Amino acid sequence: MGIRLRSSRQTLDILEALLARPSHWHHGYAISRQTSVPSGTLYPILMRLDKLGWLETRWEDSVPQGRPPRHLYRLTGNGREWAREELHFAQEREFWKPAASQA
Amino acid sequence: MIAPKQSLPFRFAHFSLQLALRLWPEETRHWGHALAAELDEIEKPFEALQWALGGLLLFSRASASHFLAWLKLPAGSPLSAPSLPASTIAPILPKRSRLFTAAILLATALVLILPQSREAISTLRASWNGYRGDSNDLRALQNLAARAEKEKDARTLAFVALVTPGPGRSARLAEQAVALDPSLIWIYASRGPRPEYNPPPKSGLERLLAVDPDNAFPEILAAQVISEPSYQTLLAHNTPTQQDTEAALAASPEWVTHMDRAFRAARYNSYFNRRWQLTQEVWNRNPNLSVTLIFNSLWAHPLPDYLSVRTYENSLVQKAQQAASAGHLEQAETLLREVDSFGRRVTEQGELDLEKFLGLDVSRRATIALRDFYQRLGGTGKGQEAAKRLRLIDDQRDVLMHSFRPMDELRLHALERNALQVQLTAILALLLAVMAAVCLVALEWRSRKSAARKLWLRRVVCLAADWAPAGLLLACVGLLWFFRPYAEILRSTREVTTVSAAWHFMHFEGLFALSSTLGGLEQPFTPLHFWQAFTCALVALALFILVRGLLRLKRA
Repeated sequence: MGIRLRSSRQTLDILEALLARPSHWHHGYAISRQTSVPSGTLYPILMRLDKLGWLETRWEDSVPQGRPPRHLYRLTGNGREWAREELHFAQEREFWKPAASQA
Repeated sequence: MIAPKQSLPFRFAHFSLQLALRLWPEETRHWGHALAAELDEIEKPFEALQWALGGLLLFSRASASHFLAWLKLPAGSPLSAPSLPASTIAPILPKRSRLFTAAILLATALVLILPQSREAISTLRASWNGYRGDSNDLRALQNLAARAEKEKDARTLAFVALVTPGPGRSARLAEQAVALDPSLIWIYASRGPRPEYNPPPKSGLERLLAVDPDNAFPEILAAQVISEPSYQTLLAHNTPTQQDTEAALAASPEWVTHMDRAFRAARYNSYFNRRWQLTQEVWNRNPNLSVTLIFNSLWAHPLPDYLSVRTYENSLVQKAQQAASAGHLEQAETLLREVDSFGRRVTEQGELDLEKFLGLDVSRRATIALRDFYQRLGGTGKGQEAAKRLRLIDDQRDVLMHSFRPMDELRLHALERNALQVQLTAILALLLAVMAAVCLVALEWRSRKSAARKLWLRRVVCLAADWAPAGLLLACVGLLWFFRPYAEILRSTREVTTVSAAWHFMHFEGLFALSSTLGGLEQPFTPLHFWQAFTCALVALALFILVRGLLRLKRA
């Protein structure tokens, strides 16, 4: 696949959360709550994924009055493959464990 | 009850993120909006604060990246290239990045804050003022005085009193200094910047005469306080003859009394060495003091009043001649020996070569009169003694005359060349600093459209932005290099213990060549000034050819 992302545990948690429902659009706060990654760490990771072309982003279409539109994220096709590889690789090295196994 | 979303933490979180969004770099601002939009989904105030803190962290990282990316580009280039109309030519930019230019300018600043650089710049500035004081010197003196008053530092107060212009403030500081340290009473004799005559304060002089009664110098000062106004009155009417002057001065019994005491005093101490030691002490404790203040401290010290000394000496010699004519030979001899003794005391105890020369002058005239006196009496032994003494005096005068001449011609020319190099390097550094500042600012504020007719100007500005900072750094290093001989002179002056050596260093070791080099540019009709003008013209021509050649190369 070429590019190897320097995957911290937080990155892998975020990839796992995005892979849980790969075709679903995720909000930033929802990812943060699910993975317990704070905003100051979450968004740089999302920005890096976006720069690598692994992440799709869009603004929500229907916006309630008085509220700004929210940003939505999901992994691209390539992104899903790479994410699975990263998670598998990290699990093999025992660097990271899936959230389900940590529960 | 305040609704949760209206509570202080939520409002602060919103406010801080909105503020950050206003300043957010354009290229990542949408991520800032994305983060801020999530705030409305958060229920708990503490979580909202944490979320906002994360946003501020993201903002600082984005700003730092933006700044770094901006630094890596040359001056005048925005981070995001604007879309220009088709007819517009893409702007020409310098080759060096902002980071490189900033590094060069930082290196230049580091060179300039070195103590050696500050000394060079301070001395140069003083030379450009012709070693006359300016507002910076006044400010330095005020700060020095304030600190000395606070710390009850009598010697620094005394120094400031001696060099501060304005008799009122100077007198007040002198009083304070003497009150703190009575041994500084001599400073009442040591005031009076020349060439304008500023008499020492009457009460101060009286106290000095009381404390140091057997010293000729304060008596001569006291006599000058009386003679100076009389002499100025004479000058106002016509050019007075020697007889007119003698008559005017001798008419004052007070003047006669002071001069009589001066000629009979057992000691001669003009406090010159004390003044130098005080100056040196303060200078070594405050190395950033301008050379102007040090010069003025030496120049301001009064020399013995030649008019009073000469006039009284003449009157004594005349009295001796009259006594000799009247047959009072012993009286005549005593008077002449009194004059010679005074001359010897000034020669032996005077601290400055000028004073020694004055003393020898007085002794010489007395000895000539004595020689003639003995020869008329037929006393060959004493006459020969007087002639021998006269030869000794002449030899001593010759030795002293050498000390008044500057150093040997070769060294003088070398120092003059150095002075030229120092001045030209300094002027070049100034020009390059202005050029770099103007060009860099112009590039950052430039218009986005480049008109074809201004291309040549833009090329020059970009060339200057590329090369002027590096040229400035080289010029500053060059200035330090060329200033080395003067730094050595100043270092040596700081270490000498006698005023005579300090005087010699500062007057004749070429520090004045620094100021005369610039001053000479106003009068380009002497050989040295011609070469100065010629060198300047050559440098200007070389710069013109270089710039023109570079521009042609770029066009090709």
